[in-house]
Amino acid sequence: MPVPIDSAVPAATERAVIEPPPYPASHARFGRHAIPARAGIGLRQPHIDQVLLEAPDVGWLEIHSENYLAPGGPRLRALELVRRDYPLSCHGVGLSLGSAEGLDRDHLARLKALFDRIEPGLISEHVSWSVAEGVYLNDLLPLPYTEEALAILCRNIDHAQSVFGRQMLIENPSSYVAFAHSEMPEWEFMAEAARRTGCALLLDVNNIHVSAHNHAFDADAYVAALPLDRVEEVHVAGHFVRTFLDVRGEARTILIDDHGAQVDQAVWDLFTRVLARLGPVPTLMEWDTNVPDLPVLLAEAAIADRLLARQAAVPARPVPGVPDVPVPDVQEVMR
Amino acid sequence: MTEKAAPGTRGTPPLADLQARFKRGLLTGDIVDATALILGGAVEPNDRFEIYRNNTRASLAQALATTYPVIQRLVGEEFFRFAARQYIQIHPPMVPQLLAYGGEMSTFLAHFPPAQSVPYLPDMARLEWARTQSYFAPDAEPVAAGRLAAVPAQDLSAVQFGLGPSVRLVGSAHPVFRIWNAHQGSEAPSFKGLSGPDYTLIFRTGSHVRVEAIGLGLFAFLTALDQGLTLAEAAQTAVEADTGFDLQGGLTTALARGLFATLTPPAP
Ligand SMILES: [Fe+2]
Repeated sequence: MPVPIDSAVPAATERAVIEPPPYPASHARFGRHAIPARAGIGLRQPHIDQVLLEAPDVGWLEIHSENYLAPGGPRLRALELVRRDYPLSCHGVGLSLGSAEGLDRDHLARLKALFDRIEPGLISEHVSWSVAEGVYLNDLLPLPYTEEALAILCRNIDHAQSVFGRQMLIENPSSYVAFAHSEMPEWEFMAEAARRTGCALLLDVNNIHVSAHNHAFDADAYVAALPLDRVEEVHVAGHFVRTFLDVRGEARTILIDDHGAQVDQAVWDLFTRVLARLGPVPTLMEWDTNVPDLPVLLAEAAIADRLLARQAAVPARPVPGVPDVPVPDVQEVMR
Repeated sequence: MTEKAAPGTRGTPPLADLQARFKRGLLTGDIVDATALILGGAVEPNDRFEIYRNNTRASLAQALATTYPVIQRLVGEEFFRFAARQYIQIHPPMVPQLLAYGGEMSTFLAHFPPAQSVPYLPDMARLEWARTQSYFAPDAEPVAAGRLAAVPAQDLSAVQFGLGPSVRLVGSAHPVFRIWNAHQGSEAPSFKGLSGPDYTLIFRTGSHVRVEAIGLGLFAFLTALDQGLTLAEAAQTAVEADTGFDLQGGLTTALARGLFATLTPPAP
């Protein structure tokens, strides 16, 4: 997914964010681990004023950290207001954990300052890269799954976790290419990175579905192979289908992870099967391109909440080797 | 699992090499070295790589269009996209934050041959970039008017003011403020027959960035204060630039808008 654009300066005629009361010295209302096992939504610029004014019933919010790394201004001020009413998760899109050249120390310091300021309940980044030779390519680019890349990823995660002084979550990517010289499947790469660095996992169910289609692997086998006890957050999102003609002129499809639509039924189904193994878990509805009105986003989150509530009534976290618990009927929940 | 080769041997490129090849492919379109590493399957490696290339180019062009909306309206979407693609190759982002991307647009346009027929574009880019910088600038408490009143009369002329972090001054030989202003509505702008110069003050109040036209005298006055000159020296500079400069009016304008972040009386 290209990193969404969120850098517009609002026109002076737009409605002002509510001016804040004086800030207390520290915002300690929500500590770590405070993200509830409910549905959250990605907080995007067009919705911030409305969230502040209407305080919709949503379990938590996730921001893209890079949109708040300015030294000040209205955007940070609005975030500090939002933070009083909602648990917040900081999701990074620019750290480039997979870069062979290592992490940008200035960027780490800016992120650390943001985390100190708003004390997010969770912090996460992607198993991908976006920086090469100092240039930021504004996309979450795929890694080859090699021992060398794994060692680089782990070194970078260790570096970031030591600067932040806390555990990170790493998210499985969506991708359109795979490398001929990869030495292990993606799930093994993810699991091994978590094992070596002690980081947790952010399981993006849409990304698994997208990559499974694009690289012809079995999404359920992927989930089954992961250490699910390390999963602390799940993402769901929309994607679209692009058609290419192969050399024989036959139509072939690639799923494009644009976070620009409602969640596909197949992704809700996979989410339901994941929940059956995982139990209730903080679940984020991501929507980044063609961002709709807030109620549309909240309606998607409500679907996730209903599935989560249903799962809460079912025993979770199966012991390895024990058959899975029955999968609830997702169609029924959505009616 | 396949046997593991040490990086760089037996056709396995080190990760740094792979990333350099991808970067070159994404920015320049020279994709052969990158696609050689990609598995095909149902869809060709070139088609797969192009998805990333389109993502990178389209999203960076979109980021530039977001920061430079008036430039885009002035030159049209097609020309803007063309210029953005050149810009991205020459000035790719060096900081992983889109809100910091695009600061070289004015310099780029000044040297971009296809843009030479519109001489005010570089100054318009300075104005639009100043607006973004003002929006994301650090917060600062403005100096209240009462602070100046408390300075003993004999010290007034040697007082120094520091401009707030969100304050930007854009001077241009072209009528860039009026052209910018004409593009703030949704209706087709009319700015024929305008001529320069324009002096523009940009600053933030509350959540909003304000853009105002000011006179040459006030522009010279604020610029001089920003350079560390004293009140008397800045007033002198302003009068030399514009004999009609009104010090009392200029100070009132500046204090009412909260343009000053510091007031430093002379050392005793
Ligand atoms: Fe995600």
